Parts: sequence; C-alpha cells; structure tokens
Amino acid sequence: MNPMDRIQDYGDGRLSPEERAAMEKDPSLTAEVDAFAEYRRVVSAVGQSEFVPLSRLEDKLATLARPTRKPKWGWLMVPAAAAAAFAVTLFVVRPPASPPVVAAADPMELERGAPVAEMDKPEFSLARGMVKQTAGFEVPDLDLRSKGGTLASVRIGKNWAAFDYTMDKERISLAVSPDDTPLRNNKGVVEMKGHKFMMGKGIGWKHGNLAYYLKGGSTLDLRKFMACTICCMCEGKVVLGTQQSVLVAMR
Amino acid sequence: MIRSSRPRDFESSVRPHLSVLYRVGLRLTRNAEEAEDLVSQTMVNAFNAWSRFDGDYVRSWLIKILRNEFLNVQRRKGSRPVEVELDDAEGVSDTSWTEVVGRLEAGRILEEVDRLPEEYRLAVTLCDVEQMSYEEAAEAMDVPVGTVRSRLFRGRARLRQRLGHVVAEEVR
Repeated sequence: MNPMDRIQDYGDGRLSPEERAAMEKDPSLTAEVDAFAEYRRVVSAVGQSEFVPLSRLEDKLATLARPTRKPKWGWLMVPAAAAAAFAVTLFVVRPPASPPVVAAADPMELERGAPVAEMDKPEFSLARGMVKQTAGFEVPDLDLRSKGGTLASVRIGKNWAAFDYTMDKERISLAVSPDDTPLRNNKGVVEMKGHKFMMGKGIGWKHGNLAYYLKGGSTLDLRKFMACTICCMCEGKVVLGTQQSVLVAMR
Repeated sequence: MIRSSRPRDFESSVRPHLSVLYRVGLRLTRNAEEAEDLVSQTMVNAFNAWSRFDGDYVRSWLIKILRNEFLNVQRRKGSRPVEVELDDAEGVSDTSWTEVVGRLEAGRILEEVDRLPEEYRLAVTLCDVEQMSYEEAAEAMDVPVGTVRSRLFRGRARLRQRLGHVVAEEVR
C-alpha cells in the first residue's frame, strides 16, 4: 500500500489500532495527515453550507405523503361495528320496504375502481409524476393556474387519474384514461372549435391516446368552456378571452 | 396528501434526509433546478417503493433511488455519464494534499469535485462532503465496499491533480 493510501485510510478511520499507532509514530507523515484532514473538513463544510430549498422540498413531501389520521381506538371500532351489525341482523328482521335505489352511473365515466392513491393540493408536476408511476401513463400539462383554476386534489386509479380543480368557487373534475371504452358508442356528439365532444352528464372527448371526461361545474356553459380550454391546452394552444366571449365564438 | 394503506411513517422517515438528497442531486446534476426535480421524482419513486423497503439505512436507500432516477433521466435525454475504468491511469496523481490544501478557496475545491467523472464524484460527495461511512456509501452506490474505496481514492487522486494544476496556474 502506498503512503497516500495509508494516509487516507487513516483519515477515513479504516486502520486497526496497531496500524494507527504506527502511523502516529511516523513524523514524516504528520503534515500530509493534517492536510488531508483539513481537506475533508473544508470540502464538507463548503458542500454542506450550500443553499437547499428545504421548505419547498418539505411542502412537496407533505403533499405526497401526509397520512390520514385514524380515529383513536379505531381498532376497537371494527369488532364493535361487527357486533352491532350482528345485533341488527338478529333483532331487526324486517325486509326492506322497497328495493334499494342505486344511482345511475354516467355511461361515460372513466373513473373505474377505487383509487389507489389520492393527493391533496399537489403541485401539478408532482401529481403528473405520481400518475405516471402509479397509473402507468403520462398526462399532458393540465396545470390550470393561468386560467384561474386551482388543483384541489388528484385521485389515481389503476388505469385512470382524476384531477379536481376549483374555478371561481366551482368544482370541476377531469378524469383521464388511456382506455376510451366508456366514450365509445355515445351518440350525443357536438363539435366545438374543431373537436368532437360527447355530451352526457359531463363532456367526454378523445385526444391523442387518452380519453378525457369532464364533469362538475354548475352550468353546461362552464363545462363546455373548460372542455375546450383543456382540449386546446393538450394541443399547446391558448384559449384567449373570457368564458362568455369564448362561448359566443364557439356557437 | 396521500391517503392509502402505505406505512405511516414515510414522511417522518424521509424528511431528515431532504437536504442530503438535494445536495447529492446538485453534485450529480450540477444544476439547482434539475436537482430539485430529481429530488421530487425521488420522493415519488420512494413513496411507491416504501412498502418494499426493509433495510436500516433510509438515507442510502433514498440516495440509491436518486442515483437510479438520475441515470434514467440521462438515458432519456440520450446522454449517459462518462463511465470510467477503475484502473484508469489518469487517476494516478503525484500531487500531495499539502501542496493544494490551504492554497485555494474552499469553493474552488467543490467546483473541482463537480468536474470529476460521475462515479468518482458520487464517491467523493458521499464520503467526503457528506461524511458517510464506506458501508453506507456502498449501499447508496449499490457496489461493494472495496469498490467505494477504490473510486474514492481515484476520485481524490484526480481531485489533487486538478487542484495542483489550479494552484500552479494561480502562482504563474
């Protein structure tokens, strides 16, 4: 082993006590040992003093990972609920007066199956990364901040993602999926700004290899405006003007 | 905020290591914006893999993910960090620490660390800048401890050589 390697092993704490003692007895190595220690001190001090955007990173981490609170004693509630259900079965043995009412699902709904992850108020870029990782497909830049929209939450399923925006106190949800099956065979097709939209409870369309479905908002006009805006964003175009002026231009 | 059945302590486990992750990202990318993106994506990847994490060293596990993501980004960009041979003759230096330490501004040393080839740069960053043990660095780099040592020594040798040139130029 050459002397420089020994000095570095010494400085890195890799020598046995006997080897260390032998090194320390050798005065010819003292200056180099000290210089190496000084190098390590300096490079560490300067490297660790560099600016770190810690608050931004912590915000991102919190957005990604903050767990939901479980009620205290939640584990006790499971057997309690089971016992209550059993008691109801035993003593309240009346058949239901009428069959249960099931809300009719929109045939165009792209969100199918329970979400595997949900994010509250994420940055769009972070949500995009999460969709890619979890659902396995890439979504275009649908950051609506420049249009006054705030991304309130994102739900991610196995083959879909739903972005919930707040626009002027209205809630709008945009589901995206590579599977366009729900949009097929839909007859209510309307053409706006050169794009074909399928109208149901919400508005559906296809762009590239993805299917989109927008719902929510208090008026059909708002949904139409948002559908056009998002569709144009996917093409890298910008929709100028107010909701009213754009809707007039679309008619 | 994620609501899922993942382990509950992901945030508290990762939070103490954000600064180190960013600094290592900065040394790898040599760009503040790219380093931040790299750390963000590392958090996403780590979150998705959290249920599979069974090791003791969260920090080295995170750095391993960061480095893999960095290599993926390089691959997507079509560029790849220059691989260096461990018996690369250029790594041998006659310059000693006494010839360079104390003669240069501290920031200049870090600038020269950033110019090292990626494998050497990571070893020097982890062991010298972040003061990690060889064992922890080996976990982070996903190589044996002996490989860490040889990359570290060669990285330092190159660094001494480059710093020696800088000192010589400044003397002129």
